[in-house]
Amino acid sequence: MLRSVKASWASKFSKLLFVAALGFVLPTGAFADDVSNVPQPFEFPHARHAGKFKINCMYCHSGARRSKVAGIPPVAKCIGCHSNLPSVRETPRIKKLFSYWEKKEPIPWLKVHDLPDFVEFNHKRHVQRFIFKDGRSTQQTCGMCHGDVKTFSVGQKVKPLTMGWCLSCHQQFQGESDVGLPAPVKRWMIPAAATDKPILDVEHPQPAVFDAEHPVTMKASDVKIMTEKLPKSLKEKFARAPHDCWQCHK
Amino acid sequence: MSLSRMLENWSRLNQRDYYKDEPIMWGMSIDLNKCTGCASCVTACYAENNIPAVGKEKCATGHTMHWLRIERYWDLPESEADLAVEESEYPERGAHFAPMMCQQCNHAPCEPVCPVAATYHNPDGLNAQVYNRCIGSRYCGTNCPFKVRYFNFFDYSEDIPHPMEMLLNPDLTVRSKGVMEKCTFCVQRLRNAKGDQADKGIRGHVEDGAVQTACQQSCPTEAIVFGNLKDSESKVSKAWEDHNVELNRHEQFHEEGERGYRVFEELNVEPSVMYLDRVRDTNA
Repeated sequence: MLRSVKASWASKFSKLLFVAALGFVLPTGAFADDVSNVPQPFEFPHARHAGKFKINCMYCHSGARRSKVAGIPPVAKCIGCHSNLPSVRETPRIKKLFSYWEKKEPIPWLKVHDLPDFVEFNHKRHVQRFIFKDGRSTQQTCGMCHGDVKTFSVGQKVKPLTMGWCLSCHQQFQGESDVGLPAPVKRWMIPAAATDKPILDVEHPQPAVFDAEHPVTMKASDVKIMTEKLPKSLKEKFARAPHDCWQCHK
Repeated sequence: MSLSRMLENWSRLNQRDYYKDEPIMWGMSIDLNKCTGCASCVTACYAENNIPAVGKEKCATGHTMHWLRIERYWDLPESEADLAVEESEYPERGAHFAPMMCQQCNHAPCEPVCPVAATYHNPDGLNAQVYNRCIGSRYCGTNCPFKVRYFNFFDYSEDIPHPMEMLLNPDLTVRSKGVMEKCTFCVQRLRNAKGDQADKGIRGHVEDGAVQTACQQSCPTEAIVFGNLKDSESKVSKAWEDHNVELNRHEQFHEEGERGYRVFEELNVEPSVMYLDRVRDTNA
């Protein structure tokens, strides 16, 4: 009896030793190519921005809908909101943020989703297809590749982002494209005044529909034409407005 | 990539008009009458496609690297009078220039010889090169009659001093050592143009003039015309029609005023680039 107990203990111990040795030999992330622990200059709480306040991913990563790369927002974008948020002004992270702003330096964020150079991934194509054409929610669409970011703090790479993984989706969606069908009537860009809810609290806002009459990005000349029609008091105000409606209407 | 895909790629070479139902076939027309040999297309190509400048010494050892080159031809002296001119300080030797880039052959000699199918024909009529599949056997470059394939003998990107890497075009990869490369007809621009059309819900049609190659864009005399050969309204297909140049014909028959030809047509490689012969007034 005693002997058998000893044997089982010994076998357990040897198993434990084996697992520990394996862990020692194979560095963590050897399989998943996980770079989630990259030391960022300071912690950016995605959970607060995307999760608690439900800010649309494309508010900060504004390149996603119109270019190949989603982009990291400039410090000015952070300051744009945070200069009006005195409640968190004295917290350590925001102090650090403002120190970059005062030094006029970009924050040296490290890239988490870094693909090899020969990979042609186009954010715009995916965003246009799933958010603008299919009307899926932004967080669901972005989450296909980036995981449930609203639960993260620092950005993490949770999907393998390998070629086979891309294909698993591409084979699934092949032939289901509704490109060419009339665009859905739903419009995301509801003026904030027309809704009861405060802007930040809109649940899963509906995406803007791409159509030529209501471009979300306008040229300076187009803005001028539009503002010509406004009353004089508003005209002056809008003359210096950003040319990208999305900067405010999220 | 499976073996079946590779065999399909190989067998495709023997089938004429494999992609005849595809809506796009990119083609080019180069008017040598207009070409002044200024080489701005070469410069634009270097800038657009992240091509390393390898330098004089490497060029001398055969490690040249330029997707687009200007070929220079001289008239041969025919008479004694010509020879007398030859000996003067500034001889008039009738220089003429031909920009030479990958001809995007429809029956490309480079494709069947690749052991790993890194070079293949894509449905848009491009002779595509997959960098991460290339093992650097250089068979394709050897088999190319135009000698427009260039090999990365070194890791040129490592020599770029620090802030200069900011000059690189982010739309396409920087090639590494041991990889064959060549003119792609600025495929990154073509893809962007197709993407823009897809946003509008249009597939398989790119408006003529919506996309320009870097060489075409920079050409001061507009000698280079680029577009979709399957679109009968496009400038390039009109140029082909005007000069009576057709695909699947090894020899072009010209009437008065027609001067279109393709380089090495007799090899039956079916290039997608048409040249318009230079006409000179020799009596002047």
